[in-house]
Amino acid sequence: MQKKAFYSFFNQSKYLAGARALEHIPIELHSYDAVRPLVIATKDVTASGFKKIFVKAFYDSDVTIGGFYDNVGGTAAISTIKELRILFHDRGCDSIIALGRGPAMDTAKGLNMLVSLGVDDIFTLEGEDTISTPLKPFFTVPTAGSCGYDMSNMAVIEHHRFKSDFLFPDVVCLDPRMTGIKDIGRAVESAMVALTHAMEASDSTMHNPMNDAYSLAAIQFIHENLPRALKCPRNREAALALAYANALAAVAFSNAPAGAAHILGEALNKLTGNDPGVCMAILLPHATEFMVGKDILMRDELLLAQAGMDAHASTPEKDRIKESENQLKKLMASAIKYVPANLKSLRIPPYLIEQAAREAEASGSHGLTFKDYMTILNNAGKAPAVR
Amino acid sequence: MILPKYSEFCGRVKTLSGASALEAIPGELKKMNSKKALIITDKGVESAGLIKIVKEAISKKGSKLTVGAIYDETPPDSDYKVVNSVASIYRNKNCDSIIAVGGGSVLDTAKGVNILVSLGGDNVLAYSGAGAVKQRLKPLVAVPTTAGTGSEMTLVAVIADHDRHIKMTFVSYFLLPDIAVLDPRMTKTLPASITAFTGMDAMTHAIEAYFCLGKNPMSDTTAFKAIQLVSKNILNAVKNPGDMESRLAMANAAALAGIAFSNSMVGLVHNLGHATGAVCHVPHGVCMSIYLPYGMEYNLHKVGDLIGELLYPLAGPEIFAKTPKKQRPRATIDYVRGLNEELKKATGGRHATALKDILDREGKQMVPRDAIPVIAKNAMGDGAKTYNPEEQSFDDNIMVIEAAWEGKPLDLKKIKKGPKNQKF
Amino acid sequence: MNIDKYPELKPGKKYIKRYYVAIMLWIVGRAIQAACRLDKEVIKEFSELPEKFTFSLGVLPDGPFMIIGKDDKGRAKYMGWNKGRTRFPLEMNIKSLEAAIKVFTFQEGTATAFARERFIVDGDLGYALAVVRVLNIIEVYLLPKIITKLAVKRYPRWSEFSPLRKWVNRILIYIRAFTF
Repeated sequence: MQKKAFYSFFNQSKYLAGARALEHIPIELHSYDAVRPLVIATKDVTASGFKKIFVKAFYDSDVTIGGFYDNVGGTAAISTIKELRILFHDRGCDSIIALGRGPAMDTAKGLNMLVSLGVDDIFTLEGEDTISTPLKPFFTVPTAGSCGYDMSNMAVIEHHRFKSDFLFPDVVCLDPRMTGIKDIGRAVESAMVALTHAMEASDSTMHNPMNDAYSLAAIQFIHENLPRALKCPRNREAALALAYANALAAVAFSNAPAGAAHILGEALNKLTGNDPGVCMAILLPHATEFMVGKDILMRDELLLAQAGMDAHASTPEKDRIKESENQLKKLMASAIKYVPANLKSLRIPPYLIEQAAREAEASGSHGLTFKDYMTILNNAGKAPAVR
Repeated sequence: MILPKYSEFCGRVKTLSGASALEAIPGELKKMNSKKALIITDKGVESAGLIKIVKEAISKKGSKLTVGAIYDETPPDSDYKVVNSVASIYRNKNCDSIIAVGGGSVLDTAKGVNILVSLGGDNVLAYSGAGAVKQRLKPLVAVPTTAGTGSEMTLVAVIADHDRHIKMTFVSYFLLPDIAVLDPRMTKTLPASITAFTGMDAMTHAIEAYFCLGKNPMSDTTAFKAIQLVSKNILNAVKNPGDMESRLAMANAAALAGIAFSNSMVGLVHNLGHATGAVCHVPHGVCMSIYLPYGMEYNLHKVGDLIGELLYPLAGPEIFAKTPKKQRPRATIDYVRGLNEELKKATGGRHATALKDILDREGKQMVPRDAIPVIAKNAMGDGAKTYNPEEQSFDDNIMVIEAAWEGKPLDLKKIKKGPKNQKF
Repeated sequence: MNIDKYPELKPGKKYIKRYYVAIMLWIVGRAIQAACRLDKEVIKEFSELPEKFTFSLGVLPDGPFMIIGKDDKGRAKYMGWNKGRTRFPLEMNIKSLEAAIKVFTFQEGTATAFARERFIVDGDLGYALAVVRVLNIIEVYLLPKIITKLAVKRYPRWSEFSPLRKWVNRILIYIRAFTF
């Protein structure tokens, strides 16, 4: 721990995790004096039967669902948000619950800014710390597979970014009936985003004990449960643990600067449309290797989270960093079916790779330069296809 | 990591930590549109010169925050009449936020005042009970001055009604302070013996959080970190009181332990500790450090594996690797006893390791032997026993307290054992 | 957007689960009343509670509940299931019907349910603990050992709870609970 450095840490969310977590939502709403939530869900929710379970969880409570909007598509759109405002006011709602994947959460966050702050154009709030009053109670019920932002203090709406501590969900409800893995590929991708966020948050030179508690827990969850989920995607416990890891990693990410793999992964996603999880997963081992080489520390405690106490204690101190990298490679290798081992297999033209490095440099992290980013990208491009 | 069938976790407090954390208060309060703060504290804190430091820090150049008033007469047991009168000071001076500088009672008072000034009314008792507060309150900043209680991270306030001799509890997530400020300047002047037992208080929070029934993944990692920090820093903080790094580490540990135990709840150690404190007026931390090894011994058959894991953050990876798995639980308990002994040495015998050795200022024994049955009875009415892995009857309490009084390890054969290997 | 496509959803009712919990609460309530005339431990617990003490145990938000009070002789009295808007000195509530089902099908013992934050206790915690102790004794009487063992932390030993006392009282409690 860097004892002298100043740090600040915040996480608003309360987690309800496990059996019958959904049924606890009414009582949580009650503690906010809320009785009419508007539910915002992604399209897949009704088809996969989640809607039915969700609505049933409110039976025998005093909560009326003001409306169940289950038509959020692949991204959050401002037009939807504006229409939802009409629905929200028409039904006299007093709180918002987002159900499903990332776009539903972003839509809900956008709507919350709109209805709580009384602005007409939320894009005036773009940027960091532009909100200074609390918003309406906002709960999330994630399903398997997150984009990494949904439970953080950020929202992305039509490529506009919003960041404020008031955007954290108040309650994150992780119910095994909702977090069950339907598409293992997507689950792996989101676990990789979470792993990248957690590793880079705990890896950063700005780490602190509070944030470590979140990031190391997320890393431990992923290392323990991703292999289990890969072996048997129907393993509900593993799926719940991965969903929990997504939530915790989002907090760690909210409280730390973005790392190299995250920045490059996002840039590649924007330029090529490849899934950010896949890009980050390919880049993460190379980014950490580069950071270790640059002496931007890869800490000894990572191995503890990755491999557990016994393995960490029995590895000599000088070998721990190496072993930690091996553990990461081992995990990636186990998921090779869903995340390729090198960038080459994504067939990205060289000029786009260069552009990604340039964009990464512009957003800046750890003072890495264009050359540094290119080194990471080149290493990731050259890596052997089999790990 | 153990993922319980169902668990809840919430650590909704913004933490500011560092050698100049106090200076960050104005900026944070500005974000919440606050301009005028009421400082609540007690005489002890004021006479230690801490309020002066706080005032200087928050009125540094560029700060738009002014101090509306300072209330420094908080009694050691928070009282509802005090709360009501401080609330009227807040209103008269047009304050819009509270900075609480001090220990548990100061913070409880501040929480009570915050309820009144945010929700209106003249009597705070109208809001007592679980979940009666349902709205966000005005900004509340907690500045702890002991590194141990972790009360800056808890959602409970206990306010006494001294006329009716009852303590009213207030429970709501909205009672959590908005900001906890961990600044080593606040704990620098603590005497060695208080540093020792408040540190062990934090240790107890964390250790009990790790093996009691309400444990969950996040309480585990926060407890783990807290134990590591206490174990590494407590002796140094006692021996070199001016070492700011150790002081800050201890403050961080206390906050982490506070998050851990307020989410997982605690067991026998706190149960008997609360009772001993209530009956014999022994400071909370003293009881904690004495009962801690007994709490582990008592639950050994149920959660031995978890106790064994604790050797890692306590003693470090080398000793952990050298100790065979079977011996780890025992080694953990011995380590804690050893730590208590070392603290006793470092404080010149002030850090008691048995109940019979606790002395008050005049050198009188504080826990007489005939108080044991009274303590055991009192403990039956304390909530912490619910979360202890093993059942605790009156007779069990007597057995444990007698051993702790003498300072002898528990006879494991005498413990009535329920089914082994606790499930979570 | 046609907002009529997204209608309001009023909460439905789960009748069977509700009735099950109501019946269990009724049995437990009647059994406490009976045990308070037979078992010395239960009598002692109740004698230490204040005069006119009443408490409710139930499911949020609106029932079913069980209300137990102390009568003039200081014994427990089952006072029905309808709580209305009355406030009691001690209210122990389970957060949802599904959580109550977990508790009353003995998948979660009282201690486990507390640890999993299924309960909200409003009132003096010391009294709540006395009630929990009484509930544990009642469970020992009402249920076979194999089930009770799952629900309590430690099943009482012979020395604490003789089989004679258990069986005589068990039969008497069953008779009294179901007769008026």
